Amino acid sequence: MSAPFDTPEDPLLHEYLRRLPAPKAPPSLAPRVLREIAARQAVLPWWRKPAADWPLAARAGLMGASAVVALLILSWIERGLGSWSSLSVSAGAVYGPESVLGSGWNITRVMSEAAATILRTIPSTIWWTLGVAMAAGYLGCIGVGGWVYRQWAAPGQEQ
Amino acid sequence: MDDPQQFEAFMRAYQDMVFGTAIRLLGDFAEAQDIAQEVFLKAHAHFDSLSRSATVGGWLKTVTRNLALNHLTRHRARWQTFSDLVKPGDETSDPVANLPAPDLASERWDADARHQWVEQGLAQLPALQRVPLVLYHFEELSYEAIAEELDVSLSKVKTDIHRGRQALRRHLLRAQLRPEGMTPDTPS
Repeated sequence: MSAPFDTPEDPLLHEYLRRLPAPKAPPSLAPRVLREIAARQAVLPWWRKPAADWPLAARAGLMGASAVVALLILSWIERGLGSWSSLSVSAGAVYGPESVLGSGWNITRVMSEAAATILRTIPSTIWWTLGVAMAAGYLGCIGVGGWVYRQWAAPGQEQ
Repeated sequence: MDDPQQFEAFMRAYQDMVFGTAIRLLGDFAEAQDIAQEVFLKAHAHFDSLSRSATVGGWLKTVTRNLALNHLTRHRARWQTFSDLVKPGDETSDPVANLPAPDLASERWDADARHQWVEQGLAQLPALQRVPLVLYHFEELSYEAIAEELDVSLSKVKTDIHRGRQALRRHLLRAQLRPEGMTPDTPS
């Protein structure tokens, strides 16, 4: 046999080799990898593991801290609405209603009072609904971001 | 990674491809196992995205190839020194001539035995011939890409692949394996 292999690309040999099945991996490979993964995870500190694997106290602490942060944000928003209208009232008193600044503050005060009045008339259930909708939107953004990452930047796309 | 069973199923689906690529490039069972383990540890770190990716096979092949070539590069000084000693037409340098001849009359000379014979021939080739030959024929890289990957000249790649093919051809003929008109799964 000589001629078929004398061509530069050896098409027959190439085809023959391409059709060879991949050598079988030893049966010990998968258990070995799983043991190594388990060993590496065992030495990881708890805060580097997924939150689901955290100790119960740590998970409870995280939930509590999240609740405190959420309550602080809600109370800050509530207080902010009230202080805005009182700030406008005091500025109008300082500069006088006839001055330009005073007129500006008066306009601001009237508008902010109107806004505060309108906002106060909105039932708290609507605020909660809005809050939930915002949270859902935010989580949705994370979902979309994750999807975009997986489509274009995930390791599975690397070649 | 939350589900070890899912990862294990993933691993079993791709382990032959990963291990096969590694052992063909490295020609050493223990080193190929180490590389395959490293590949799957990397896959485990990215499993959330990899498990949903349609190109996971390509990713695994690329990572395996890169890790195997990096492994070989660590021994590159020794590898290149030996390559310089091999002169064109040096018949005494046939790397597969020392393998015992196959027992063709044996009942066990089936498709698996033939595949094993070819893989043995590949493994016996020196790295300077085996690596570019595997990259060309199994990984389907062009001569230019192989030269770039191995950081050697194009002419050296062609020469090494040519010598590797000649050695492999002699090896196949010893077992009366003729690539023309047959596939690895059909008896010769």
